[in-house]
This record gives sequence, C-alpha cells and structure tokens, in this order.
Amino acid sequence: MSSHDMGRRAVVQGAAASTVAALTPIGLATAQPAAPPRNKTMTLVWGGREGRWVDFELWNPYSIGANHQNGPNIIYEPLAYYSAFADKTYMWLAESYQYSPDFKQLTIKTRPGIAWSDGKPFSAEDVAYTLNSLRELGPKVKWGVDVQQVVKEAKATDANTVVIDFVVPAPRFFFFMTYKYDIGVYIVPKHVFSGQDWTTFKHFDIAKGWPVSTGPWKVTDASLQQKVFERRPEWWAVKAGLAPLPALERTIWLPFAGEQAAAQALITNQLDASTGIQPATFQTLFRGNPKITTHSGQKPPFGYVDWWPISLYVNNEVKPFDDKDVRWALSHYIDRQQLIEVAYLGASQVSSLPMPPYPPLMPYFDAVKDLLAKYDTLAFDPKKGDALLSGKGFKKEGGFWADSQGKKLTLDIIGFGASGPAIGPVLSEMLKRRGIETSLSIPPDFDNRFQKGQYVGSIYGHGGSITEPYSTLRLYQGASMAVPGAHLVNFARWKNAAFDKITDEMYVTDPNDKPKMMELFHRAMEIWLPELPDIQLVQNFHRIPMNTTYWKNWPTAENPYVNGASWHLTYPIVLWNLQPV
Amino acid sequence: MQLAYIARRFAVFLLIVWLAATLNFFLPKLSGQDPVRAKLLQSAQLGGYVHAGLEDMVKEYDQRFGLDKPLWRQYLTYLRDTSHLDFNYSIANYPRTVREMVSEAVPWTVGLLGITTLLSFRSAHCWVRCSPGLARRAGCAG
Repeated sequence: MSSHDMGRRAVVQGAAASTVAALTPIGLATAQPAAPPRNKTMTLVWGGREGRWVDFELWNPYSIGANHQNGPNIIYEPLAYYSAFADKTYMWLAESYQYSPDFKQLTIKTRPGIAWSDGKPFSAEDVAYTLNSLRELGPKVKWGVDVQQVVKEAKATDANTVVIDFVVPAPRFFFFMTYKYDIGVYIVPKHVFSGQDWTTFKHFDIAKGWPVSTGPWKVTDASLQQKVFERRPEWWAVKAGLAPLPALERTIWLPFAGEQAAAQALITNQLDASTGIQPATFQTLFRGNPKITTHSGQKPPFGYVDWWPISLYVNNEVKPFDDKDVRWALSHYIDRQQLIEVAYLGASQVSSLPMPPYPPLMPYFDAVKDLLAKYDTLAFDPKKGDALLSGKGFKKEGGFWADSQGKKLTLDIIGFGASGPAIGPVLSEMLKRRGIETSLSIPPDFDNRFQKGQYVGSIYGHGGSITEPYSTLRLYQGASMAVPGAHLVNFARWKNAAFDKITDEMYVTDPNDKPKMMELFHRAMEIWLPELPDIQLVQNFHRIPMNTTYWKNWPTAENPYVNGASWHLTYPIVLWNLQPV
Repeated sequence: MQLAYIARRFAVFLLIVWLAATLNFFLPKLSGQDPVRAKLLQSAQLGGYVHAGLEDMVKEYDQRFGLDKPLWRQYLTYLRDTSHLDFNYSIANYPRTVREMVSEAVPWTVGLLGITTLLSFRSAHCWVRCSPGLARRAGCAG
C-alpha cells in the first residue's frame, strides 16, 4: 500500500467520519496484511498532530520539519548511547575514543563489520561526512550550528578511524554526539545523503529500502495513520555480541488521538505503551487492566523524573522582578507540597535546583548542600516573603502588595502544554492569596513570547544537565567568551559576568576532573543561589503506562536500565530488552 | 452585449480571486507570529532543548522563504507566484510543497463534491417529477 493511497484514504475517512476516526485510530491502524501475531508486535501511541502523522514521509532527521522523536530515533544508530538512569555508556558504532591533552582533537575508532541495511559497509567515512556536512550547512539543519561552532574538520584516516579537529577545546563533544534523551548526532549513510539537499531530502522510499539504517528496524509502512517498523534479523550488533536480536518482530507507532482513546486501547490490550495519560486516569487504567504498570509500578507518581525540572520564570529585565529580593519573596510564598497535592494529586516531587536528581548529578547536589541550607529554594515561609517585600518599600493595601506609588505588584504568568494548565491555576491562586496580583494565560504563541523575552512570568522547564552541571549553568549564561559565536538560551534574562566566567571555565574543563568540576559548580552556585534567577517548583514526570500482557522487562524503578520514553534517542535499548510474556 | 456580460463577469471573478488571495496573505500576518520561529520553537519544545543556533536558523529560513523582505515585496511575490500556481513550501509541513498537498486532496474534494452535486441534482429532479404541481410550473411534466 503506497503512502499516497494512505493519504487518500485518510481524506475519505476524515470527510466521512472524522469524529469516529479520531476516537478509533487503534482499530483502524492495526489492520495489517500478513502481520506477525499480536504477541510478536508492540504497539504504542505517541505524538502526531491532531491524530495524524503529518511527517510520515520525512525520515531525514536533519530537515527542520523532521522530528527524531517520531521514528528516526530507532532508525539512525549513534556512536554511543548513554543511559542516565543506569549511568552507563554503551559504545555503539564507535568502539572507543580519545581526546588530545588540550581537547582540541578527538580520535574515534569505529567498529568494523557494520553494514547499512542496503548492504553497503558502514565506515569512518560516514562519520566524517556527517560532521563535515553539518559544519558546512550550519543553520540550515538541526545540530548544524552546534557542530559549526566547534568543528574545524573531520577526517577519516582509515576505514575505522575518524580524527576531528576543533577550533576550541571541546571536552564534551563526544558526549554531545552520544544519544541521550533528545540530544545526539545522527550518523547518516554518505552513499545516500551525498549530493542531496539535506534541507529538503526526505530519505523515504519503501520500494528502495529507504530510510537506510544500520539498526534492527526497517520502515515497512508510513502513513498519516501509522508508522510500522519490522525487525531486520541481519542486524550487525547481534553478531558483534552487543545486543540480542529484539524479541518483537514488529512495532507499530500510532499518533496520539486523545487520552480517552489511548486509555481504552490500553485496557483492551490493543496498546502496549502510550503517552498523554494524566495522573487522575491511572487508577482507572489499573482497575480496567491490572497488567498495566508504570516506571513506579501502580503507585504515584506513575512515572520517572524527566531531565526537565519546572520553574516559575520571571523576566529579570522587568521591574520589580529584576530585584533578587522580590524573586525570593515569590519563592517563599509558594507551598510546593500543596502545589503537588492539588495540581498532580500528590504524584510529583519538588525540585530544588534546575537539574534533575540523576545518579551522576547527585554528587553535585551534595557539593552545594551548605549553600542550599542557607538559600533554601524549597522553603515555604510567607513571613520571610512579607519581610522581603516590605524591605523593598512595598505595602499591603486591600490584601495586595503595592509599591510606594500605589501600583499593585502584578505578575502575569504564561504557560503551555501539560505543565501550564496543571500548575498554573494553583500557583496563581497561591500567589494571589499572598498579595500578588497574579493572572494566568496559555497563549498559542507561548514559545515565541517566552523565547523573545516578551513575558513577565512563565512556567517552563530546563533542558540542561544529565551527567555534570555544565549544560544547566549554560542555560543562565548572558555571554560566552569560551565558545566563539555562542548562542545563549538565558530564558530568565539574568546577567552576571562572574557567573558567565565560571561557566566558560567549566566549558573547557574535563568533565571527568571531578574535584575541579565540583569547585567550579560551588563557585557558580554561590552566585546563582542568592540571585535565584528563576523560582524552583517541581520535577517533570514522564508518566508512561506500559502493558505487561504481551511484553515484559519494561524499564522501571526496580529495573532502571534506561528511561522508557519512546520518543527519546535511547528507545532502541528498550526495544531490544523487551521480552515476550 | 453577451461579450460585455462575459467580460464583466470575468472581471468580477478576478476581483474576487484577488480579494481572497489578499485576505489569505494578510490575515496570518495580523497574528504577528513568525511562522519559521514558531515551527522551530515547536520542535524545540517537544525536545525540551533549544538548539544553539535557533536564531541563525530562523534567519536562514526567513531568507529562504522571503520573509526577511518588506511586506509589500512579499505580497507582490506572493501574488506573482500564486498566479502561476506556485505555492512553494508548506512551512507547517516542511519540506512538503503546498502543491504536493493540494494535488493529493483535490481529486477527493472534486470527487466528493461531484458525487454530492450529481446526487442532489438527481434527487431534486426526482422530487420535481414526483410533484405534479411543481413539474407543471417547471415545464417538465410527463
């Protein structure tokens, strides 16, 4: 069945019964000719737009329209995988790597005996080609600028050796290329991508065997309704003894079409995993199907801590939130436990720093215990908040704080996605009760406003550190001298030259030099904590129901080999770990 | 007389097409959103990570789509391209072209519309034939 036919079918279905189609995508999509039996198939629900895979033809993950989360994550294998939960690196297409003492050169040894799915051998040339193309294309493609900033040239010196020269010391470059969460460089086949325009090339033609992959999956159907991947028994990693051949023969990815449809499909065993289930729905799921579990079993928080701790951001360029005492006052007004009880029915955790409490980061949390004792980012202390505002000349009139001109202390908060509507109303009410005139909105152009600094307050997370604190500190840098042409995130719009300098120093420090890293982190936090650029709230949780009717050995708290997000780059690890029941 | 009528009708047709095209161009602009930035940020939001070169990427694709040009120039380019049925890329579904997407949908829209028109014509015809009074007035009795 061609994708074109599928597109037509979708139009007819949509015109005939769009509501029915939206509610029953599972039934429509699992009707496959010559399908492996149900107990050899793993079906999941994730993403899409309005219940459709609008990107079903797009398998070149570098195009700006592409999203690796929608399937390319299991097609393109990396040089290495990293599981933050297990704190383990799996060397993959690369066998080993070595930096020069000044970190201005990286030599990577790739594994011999790897072949692309079209039979062509994989080699160091593919790695060098990928990196050099990214350097040349720069802002035209994903990861282009990140590579362009540091890579001078990548050379394949023999079939299994790549030498990368950097323009600046880059001690984190191999880790940047390693797959973890949503970050990593996809290695593409030179013989297919060469001569193509990477910005528009789709790399999709099932008849030609595209997308070409070194991985254990081939795309056998992709349409608006579903993406189907079949196992490739000839996968190189089995012969190399790196991984078993996945027990599942087929995996079907369906676009999310609403919580109710997903919950029903999980209860009736049509689905093996899903997303988009709210904490309140889990008990219904467990009652309907006792074989459903989550990372934390059938107990709250029904998931695991994501790498994206959530904060209340205040624009540090907007008065009076440019004043650290006002920011601290807001922090003291927030009862985070109550926030969790009301917003998440108790199924969440507080977050004291803007990075997740993952095993490799725990020593860094310990290193600043003294500072956190002095600057308790979780303290609920309204009296202290009152004292701070009074100290700044604010007076409470009619239950609301106002400045010396009688202007009310107003905070307009914007939010988005799941976190905004969940936390926003509770947070807003909490601050109102303490005398802050607070409003909440979920604007459609949230990203645009937040990224451009056109906001006063905002609920958002931190896509920063996983193993060591540099990536989180970088989120707060106002300027960088260490990375030429660096582009900064700085959503909080906070500026501190001394902090920037320490972060730059950390950038050129070997992340394995723990004493130096700890010392730099402590120094950075000595500045950051008293200033509190954004107000720490709660952890972000991935709540993924996993069905053990047909499949077991899902990643859980007892068996945390990796996180279980199908959209992350490490999902192939889950796929080769799943075992039939 | 008939030629003047056809010319007038054609002029009205052109005016309506121009008005529709103009509205189609200006209405999205009123939102004040940059579609390229919105697309890239949407992707960043899903990944929880903002690419280092987001601003450079926005500039690059604004240039590629002509969004860096003054509005009047964008409008003229748009009218020229539209009159040649060249709708360029869909930013929301990049790198699919609008023509690709429309050509997939057109046969089905036309087909459905055609069937509906035929059915309604046939039903109306039957109804008229089955109602003697109406049939007499319509002059198609028998």
